[in-house]
Amino acid sequence: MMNLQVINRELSVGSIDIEGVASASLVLIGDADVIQLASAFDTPPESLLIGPFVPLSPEG
Amino acid sequence: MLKRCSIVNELSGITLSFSSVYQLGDSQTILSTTKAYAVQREKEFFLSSEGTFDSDVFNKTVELPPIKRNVIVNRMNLSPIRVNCMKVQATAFSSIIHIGNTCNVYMDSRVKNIRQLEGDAEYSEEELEEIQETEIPGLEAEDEEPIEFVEFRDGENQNTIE
Repeated sequence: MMNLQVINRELSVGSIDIEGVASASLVLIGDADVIQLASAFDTPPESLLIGPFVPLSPEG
Repeated sequence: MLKRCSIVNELSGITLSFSSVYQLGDSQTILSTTKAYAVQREKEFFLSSEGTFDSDVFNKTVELPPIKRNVIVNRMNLSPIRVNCMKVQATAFSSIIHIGNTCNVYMDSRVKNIRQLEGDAEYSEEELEEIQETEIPGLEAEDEEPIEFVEFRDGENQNTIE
């Protein structure tokens, strides 16, 4: 078993400018014990459809 | 239990949408998930009842590495967190802006992207009218009135009531 001693002295942020945060993302100023992030992004081959516009079936 | 103060002078944002959070101060557990079925079409043609979250990308569980908590962490918070100025244009889809300490965070994002181009397809005026006149369920529903759920199968509308 390991002992870790953390002493948080000054944490001072001057200025942060962010355009966008999206899709279950986290901007954290501070400490965390455990961070678990999962992400799945799918653009299957059939995701590019060329042809007449038809509604996507519920199975799609 | 208050562990660490957060002092924020200015936090400004333009858009905060789709279950996003600004958290100033400590938190214990964060569990945030988002599912997005994104459809982009060359022409404006959208129905609210299209698609489902049945596909693998939404339902497969992502295997996470095991957490081995064989470290004892001892924190001494001597000074507060100070933030002078923070500008975030847009926060969306279960995202979190967090100023302060936290313990456990789990976040999950699933996105499926479909693009539909017109190609050489040409529509007769009748077809265009049909597209424009396609009834969108729930559009004319009164407040608190249950909305009919419309399924599309083989281009045929099958009405089912939930």
